[in-house]
Amino acid sequence: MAIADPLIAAEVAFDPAPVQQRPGRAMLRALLRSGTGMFGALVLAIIIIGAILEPWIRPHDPAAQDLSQRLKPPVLFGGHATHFFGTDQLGRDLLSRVMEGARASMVIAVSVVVIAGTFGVVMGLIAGYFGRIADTVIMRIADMQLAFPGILLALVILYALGPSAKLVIIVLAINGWMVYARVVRSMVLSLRKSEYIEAAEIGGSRPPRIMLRHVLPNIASPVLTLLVLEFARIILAEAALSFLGYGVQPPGSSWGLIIGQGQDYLQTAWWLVAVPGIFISITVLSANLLASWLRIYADPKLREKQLGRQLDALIKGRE
Amino acid sequence: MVLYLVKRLVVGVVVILLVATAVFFITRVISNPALAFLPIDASREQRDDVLHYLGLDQSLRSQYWHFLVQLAHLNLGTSFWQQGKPAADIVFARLPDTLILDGVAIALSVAIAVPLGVVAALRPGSKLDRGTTTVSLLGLSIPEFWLGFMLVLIFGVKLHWFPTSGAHGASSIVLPALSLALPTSGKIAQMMRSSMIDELDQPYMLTAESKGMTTAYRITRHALRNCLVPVFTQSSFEFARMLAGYTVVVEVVFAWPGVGQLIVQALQNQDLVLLQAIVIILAALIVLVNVITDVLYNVIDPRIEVA
Amino acid sequence: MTERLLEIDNLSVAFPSANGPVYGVKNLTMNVAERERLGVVGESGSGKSVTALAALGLVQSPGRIVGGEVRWRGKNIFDPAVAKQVRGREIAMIFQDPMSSLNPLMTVERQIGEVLTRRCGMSRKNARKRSIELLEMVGIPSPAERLKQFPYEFSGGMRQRVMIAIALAAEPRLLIADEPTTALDVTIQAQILELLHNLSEDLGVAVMMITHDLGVVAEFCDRVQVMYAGRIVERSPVLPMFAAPLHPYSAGLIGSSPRVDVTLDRLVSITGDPPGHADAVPGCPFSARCPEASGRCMTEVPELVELAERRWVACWRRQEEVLT
Repeated sequence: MAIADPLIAAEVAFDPAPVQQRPGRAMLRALLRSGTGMFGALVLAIIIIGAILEPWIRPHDPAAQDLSQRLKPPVLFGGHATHFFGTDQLGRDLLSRVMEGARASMVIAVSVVVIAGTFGVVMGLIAGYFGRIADTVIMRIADMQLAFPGILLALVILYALGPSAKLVIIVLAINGWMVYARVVRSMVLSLRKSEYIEAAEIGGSRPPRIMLRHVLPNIASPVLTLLVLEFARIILAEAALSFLGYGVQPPGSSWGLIIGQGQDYLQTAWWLVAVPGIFISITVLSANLLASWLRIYADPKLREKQLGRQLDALIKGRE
Repeated sequence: MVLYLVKRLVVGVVVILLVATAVFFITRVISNPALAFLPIDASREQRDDVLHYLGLDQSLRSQYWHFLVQLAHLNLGTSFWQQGKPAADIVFARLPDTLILDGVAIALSVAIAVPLGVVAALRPGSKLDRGTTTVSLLGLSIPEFWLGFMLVLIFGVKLHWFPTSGAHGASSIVLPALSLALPTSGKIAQMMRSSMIDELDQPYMLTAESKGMTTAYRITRHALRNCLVPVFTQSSFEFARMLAGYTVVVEVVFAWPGVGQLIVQALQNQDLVLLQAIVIILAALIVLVNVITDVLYNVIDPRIEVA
Repeated sequence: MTERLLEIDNLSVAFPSANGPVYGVKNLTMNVAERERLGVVGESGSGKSVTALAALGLVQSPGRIVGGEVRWRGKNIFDPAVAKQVRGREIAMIFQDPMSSLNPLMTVERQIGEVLTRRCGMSRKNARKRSIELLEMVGIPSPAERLKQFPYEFSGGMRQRVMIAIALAAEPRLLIADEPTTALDVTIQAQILELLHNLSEDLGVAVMMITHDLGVVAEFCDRVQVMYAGRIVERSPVLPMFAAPLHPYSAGLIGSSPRVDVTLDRLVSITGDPPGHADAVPGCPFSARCPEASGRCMTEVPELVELAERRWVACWRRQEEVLT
């Protein structure tokens, strides 16, 4: 059938085991000890919290224009400390605009992930658990959709209906549920064959109960990894759409939009393009680092391998 | 084998039809194109004339039927914006530039990613590995269009090494191809690394070592060769992904005269017929790429039995 | 005068672990002579596979060779130049699972051929001819066609034959076989053993047969060496060993093999479990499970001593009996 993203599909290794509630606390401790995973989580947390608190902690009103202060460079390049990242062509403070943009980008990414994720996971559960007709129908639709040129259709829809942040969320969500469904479905299928599910069924538990108590806890970690990876992907997708002018619209703000608005000034005021892009890159990188850590944490086999390699590297380093 | 091919093509055609239908309904039902097209003070008669000329005064059902018939004849309509020119022709004229750009980008990605992934896999857990992995992750976190701007800034404007727009001569493809290639190479490198690590761990590598095969030979002719299959699959997936949209942003940044830029122009000029044509043709192209990949994959990996 | 081909001297191989190094083999001394068939027996974790790999100068990561020497016909095999020369040409190895020990994406022709072209300097044409001969020798029908095939196109037994063909390609003098029949059906096992027997006779190849199956040893080997927890506990010609095993562990192993002509209510077994890698016991490694252990057994590791003609045992009890 259509080729799904091999990076996601192939890497979500899964090892069915009876329900072992891995305490959230143990996971937190492990996260704190890891190097890059912690970095990723921390940066992501800072950005999200910053985006939430933005209206109160921003240095200036992002919409405040001051034509006497047009195109001032960032403080490290000869500018004034009042405008840390400089100003744009209308004298608006770039840092404040970027913070405001963070809000939109975060809201959109989180919304899409929640909507598409919930829908996709549920579809995957149904397809995997109930099999036969439900499975065929759901997977056919998913495969068909995966073959669609996503961004192109998104552009067309946004153009036709008039772009807005809300529409971006809807479009990206419609585009994004399939990968969750596929992954969850294959996990459920392998779980289903395991004996303790059969035991639960024989014992008389009804499907929703089985799914809740037995299936969900086991798929939680890989799904979480997938959610974070998708979060990263959506940020990039939204940035591209907003850059083209078919995403978030002014007077709203998003990182992609700021870049789009600043592109004419690339030669004279490069910071207008550079700064928002750096923020996008750091955010996406953090999400990817966190997802990498999650992937290894969630899979005991991968964890052991990594432990072995670290041990090996330590020894080789000492020799 | 032939049966499999036929099956895949049939599915592909269905997909194209679905995409075409989706585009059709989105553009027709949701907004009336003629209204966007005319000047604001157009008279009612002018409106009706245009509607009639475009066939938009007929019922949706007959419009759709007409559309399907035209599609069967591979007629994708005539462009609004470029008065009267067949939309398909316009698209096909621009397609080669996009294909060249994407093709070069993928080739660059693989050329960068394979050594990166192999080097990381040879000493997993080491500083070199962590370094290359971080570089890969950084690469795939950067938005292509932004990377384009940064490359333009550094290499085009400041250093004057490469032209910053247009498509004349070999040097003009460097920056746009790099913008597409670097993020993609990050993904391929990650995949290369984990495939390579898996292969290096395989028992047959030990067998080869016991036969006295040199390390270089074992790494390249045994492990690396076996990794090429997943690399190939992922590369074609990324190629399709580029066609499906990300070329657009890069072409916009570099004013590259390909299909991506055409999309934006069609949007700006409200040319729905052209837009429709572009989406359908690209969808068909993506389906074609997927089918060819599936077939080649079956050929390359002798273990796969054709469905 | 039969030459000693392989000499292992005081070999120790350690693996790092969270609690410090764990020894795969400790102070191991053994040898293999020309044309002989030596069996190396032990449970999983006894160190037999580690020994086999070390004979080629190989060790599985993250293990390290931390002591001792391995000499092939007098030359130190840890010297990379020697190893390069010897591996594949003078010593060859076959492994337990031919499905994973053969490259699944490479034709049989390539996998046999690479030894011939790269190690023996043959031309492609000659290598192909020789490969066909080899496949015939190991009993694979239609060898010319099968050359072009991939491992998955062969059955389990056939694959093992291919492995043997690859190993014998450069006419080695020693073949190390690491549990070659363990993964095969019983009937196929017999065929493979017979093949190995005939080949070693006809070609004059010494064989070091690693196995946990005493039946294989009884049928195939001239001499047998029993390993436990990384050490050799008994070494002896095959018949005397089976008739009257000296070490309590060997006795336990032989005793626990069910016999066709005896009916038992319960199968005999050795009490206790094999030592895990983490438990390093002072004294004889078998002492925890040995019915005869006492005193010295718990505190001092017994040395491997020749107590009778060509019969070596590492056991305080046996040593005391001989001395008294």
